Amino acid sequence: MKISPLATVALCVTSFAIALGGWWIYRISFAPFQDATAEQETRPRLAKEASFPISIVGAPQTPTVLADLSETGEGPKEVACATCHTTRSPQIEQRFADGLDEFHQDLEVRHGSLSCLSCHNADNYDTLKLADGSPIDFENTMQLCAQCHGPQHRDYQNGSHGGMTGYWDLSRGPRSRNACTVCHDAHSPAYPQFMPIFPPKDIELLKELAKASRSQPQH
Amino acid sequence: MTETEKKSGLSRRTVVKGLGATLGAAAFAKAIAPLTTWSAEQSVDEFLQKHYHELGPDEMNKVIARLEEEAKTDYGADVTISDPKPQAGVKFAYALNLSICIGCRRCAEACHKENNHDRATGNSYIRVLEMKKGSLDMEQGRVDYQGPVPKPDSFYMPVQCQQCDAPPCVDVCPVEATWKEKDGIVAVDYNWCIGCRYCEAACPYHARRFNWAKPQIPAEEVNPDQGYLSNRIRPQGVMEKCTFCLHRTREGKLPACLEACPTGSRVFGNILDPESEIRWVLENKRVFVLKEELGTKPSFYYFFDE
Repeated sequence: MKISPLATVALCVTSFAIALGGWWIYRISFAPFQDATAEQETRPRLAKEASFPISIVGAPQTPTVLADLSETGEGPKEVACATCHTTRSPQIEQRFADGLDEFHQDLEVRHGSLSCLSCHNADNYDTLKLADGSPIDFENTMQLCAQCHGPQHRDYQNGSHGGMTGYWDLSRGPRSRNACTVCHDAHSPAYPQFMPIFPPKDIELLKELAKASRSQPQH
Repeated sequence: MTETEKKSGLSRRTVVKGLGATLGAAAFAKAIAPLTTWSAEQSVDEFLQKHYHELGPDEMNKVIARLEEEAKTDYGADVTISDPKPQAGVKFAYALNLSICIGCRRCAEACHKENNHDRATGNSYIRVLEMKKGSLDMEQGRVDYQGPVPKPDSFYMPVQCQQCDAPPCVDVCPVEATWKEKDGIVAVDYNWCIGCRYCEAACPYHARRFNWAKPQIPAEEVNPDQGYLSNRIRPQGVMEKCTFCLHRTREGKLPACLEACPTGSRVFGNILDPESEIRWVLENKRVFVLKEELGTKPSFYYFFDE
């Protein structure tokens, strides 16, 4: 079959037009993405070059208990846990506040099948204890929680649990993070339900306001 | 013909000409009528202001000085307007953990306050959708849910500007008043926008807002830390949108919605930094984007904990 020169030229022109169109479609589809990522004259700012610290706020302090010391003639006073607990034998089986006849009676405990002494240290009630029995200060409870809540701890360590305030760019400012117990009650850790704030307003209200502002006399 | 002309002294042609001229003059008068309110609504400087990209540093300083003065006269607030530029080596991305979002709407309120939104309408760049578990159909989400939250059969999905890498809102703007910045933010020049609302219609995420009225904010509630492309008080009749709080984030700070989140479901950072939190999420969680099939290439990712 013989192809006339005219048809060849037409074919070439058509192919060129299609290629040009294709390039144009590619360009408008991907150019914004390339523009945004292409210009990397300088290397990315890296978190590990950071100079500012990440501080954890709200870690619990060593607790005290308000005790009625009227028998000694002193009146109510904040006392350390060890004040009473050194004179009493630990109750290994105790899991809830129900059976207690003194102190902690109104404490709500909903934390799996843990007993008091799963976390509290019977040898020294001013500290807590890890699963291996080694004591740990109240300030370091995160390590205690992490024993069971590994995935949450991992997410927290990587910035996707627990929230933060301050700077994403640690080379320019510090960051503050919450300790576990800021949001979770250690004895009843499920995050409670509550009422949402700031409900959206009706679109009709927006339109009415616009109408009102149009009809206002110009000043 | 010539006889009739002579008789009346007024040709048909003359009458038609006169009529046309009258109508033309009336139409012209009507067309320029809005200019009679000019001085009240906008200054000559504002009318003649160039596009953001064409403003030189000196011109920008003048514009900012004028805007700060306007904020003082109109709102009684002493504000500082900055124009932070994108940093080299930074592209912003956001991720949101749907497993721990409780639908409290604190992010929406923080946005409202940070970005100087109109108080009466309770505007915010963030809509929080209450979705039934088992479906990811955004259109089934409700924004007018009532508490207490979280409900056991629902999850909560805050939606704001996805800062798309192929933004349909930018494509449709007839005057190039909106564009994509180098760090991924889709910005708006409020003084160049003509308020046609094409971008609002084009956005599949309902992320753009229109200023139906001039925002009303009490002087003591105006956020004085303002950005030219972000939270300065917008004029009436222009579009606005989430800018990832660029007046904060380009200074290295976290966005207001993230700081307000009580559960930490929001993750923000520089996607080009392999050590960043956002990169950890993208590499370790099963993330997805909204309406991926539209090819908008969002910079906003969602994920569930497994």
